[in-house]
Amino acid sequence: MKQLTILLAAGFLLLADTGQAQAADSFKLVVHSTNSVSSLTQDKTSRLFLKKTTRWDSGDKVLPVDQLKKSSLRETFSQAVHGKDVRSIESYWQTQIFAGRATPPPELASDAEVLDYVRSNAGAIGYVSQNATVGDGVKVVKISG
Amino acid sequence: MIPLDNHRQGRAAFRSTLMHLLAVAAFLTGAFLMATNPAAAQTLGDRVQLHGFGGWAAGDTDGNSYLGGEEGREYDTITFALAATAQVSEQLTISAQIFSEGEDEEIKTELEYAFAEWTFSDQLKLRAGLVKQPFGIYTEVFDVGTIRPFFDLPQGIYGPTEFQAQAYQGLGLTGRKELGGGWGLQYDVYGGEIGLDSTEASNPFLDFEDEAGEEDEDEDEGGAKEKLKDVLGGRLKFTVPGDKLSFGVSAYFGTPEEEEEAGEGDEDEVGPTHETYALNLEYLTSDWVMRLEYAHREGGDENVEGRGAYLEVARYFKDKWQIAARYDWAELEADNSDIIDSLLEHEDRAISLNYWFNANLVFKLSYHLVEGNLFAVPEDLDEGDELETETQLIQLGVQFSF
Repeated sequence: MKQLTILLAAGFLLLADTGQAQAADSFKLVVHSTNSVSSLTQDKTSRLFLKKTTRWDSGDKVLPVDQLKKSSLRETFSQAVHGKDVRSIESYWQTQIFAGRATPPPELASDAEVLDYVRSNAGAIGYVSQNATVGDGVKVVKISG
Repeated sequence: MIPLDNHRQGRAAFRSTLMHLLAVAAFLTGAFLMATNPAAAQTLGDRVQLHGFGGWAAGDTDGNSYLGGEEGREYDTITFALAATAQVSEQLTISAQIFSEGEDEEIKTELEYAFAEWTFSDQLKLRAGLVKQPFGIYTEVFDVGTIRPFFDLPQGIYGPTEFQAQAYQGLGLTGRKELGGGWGLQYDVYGGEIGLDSTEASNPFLDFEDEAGEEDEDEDEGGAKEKLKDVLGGRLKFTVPGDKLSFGVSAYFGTPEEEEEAGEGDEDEVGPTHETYALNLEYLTSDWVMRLEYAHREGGDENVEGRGAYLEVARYFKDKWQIAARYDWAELEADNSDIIDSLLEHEDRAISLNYWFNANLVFKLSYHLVEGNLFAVPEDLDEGDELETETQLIQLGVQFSF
């Protein structure tokens, strides 16, 4: 009976939260201009930033870069791409770190720093504000699905 | 787990240990950075990362000792750990973690893991050394308080119940594969030796073999390990589309190995094969945390059958506050019919109110109502007194990480 109660409670909780990720229309996803990728699914984008996928199809190492935790853009990106808030993603990284499985991407303080990082690293992927001018050496990638 | 020093005592010794750990970590980090090409400064922070976690708690019970709490309050549960990860090359990663724990004036420092990982691909990584045991949800992050809603892990599975070992010494393979449609699979297989926290040694009133009332002089209270060799184990963890729900199965088996007797230098294999399996379900969103696990074991040195399970649910509200509830259960079956039933049973109903300053600092105030004496027992018992089977604990703690 106790085990049944536990299972019923678990089932209720699974139905209780049906929150959806926000649309990804307030930031630009950017990669190095030599990257052949022109669009990524939301799921693939999430896996790249969480280091669940660590190689591009070309074989190059993926180098994700984040914005600071306190940045509102980071929260928007996290909700839109991961479907979770920044605190949940921080918890994910703590699990990865202390299990000895992965370490989080570097965090940079501005759009300009992110663009410089992406411009300087062929495998890099980052995100900047929708109104940021990306300039040479960086291209914008669409998020589909 | 390898005890480095079990004999240091007192606060001064603990502070000294922490300072020593910090100094060693700082030296190793500095040495690595100096040895690296200064022109590659942008990548230095990515190559070596130093992280840590810790916590402190005070606990007050109405009689028995439980989770570091005692009647009349105890303030000396304190932990601290340092973890370092070095990305030596694109394929080679070295990871290590040292953990210190203080309670009742006794300080214990352990090397929790130290291993090399060679990445062939996302689907195949080779691990060798002292590696966190991939078992259930929490074993790889056993002492990290900032990723769970209660100060302590549910004892039914993560207490000294001989379900999990925290780390194995040997070789392992791990990897992750995308299964299509948003499904993912993480897998682990490993082999080597593990040391389980002995249930019998953790409870001074529990004796699986001797007649009631007879003292077992061979048992060493606290920290004793039941070693298993020739261990073979694995874990499968599936994530469903959306990445909020995951479920998995873990299992391992191994041959019990008797502790080496001082001065005799020989080891005898005893008991049937120790077999353990566990099932788990985890559901994580921005607001909700839900974890459900069940574990079963049999065989081993004492030939004891054990079952444990828990359900914990937590919800954030007003951004920084979190309320949590947990039901935690375990029971053992032993051949010795002289053992009092309550010593083989555990039920803990707990609630916690937590305040998260951010993801790296949390205060937790919890209340536990415990039935059974598997983990909740008095410090000592006068002749003729009976065990109190119900225990109440109020615990206040802080946990942090960086």
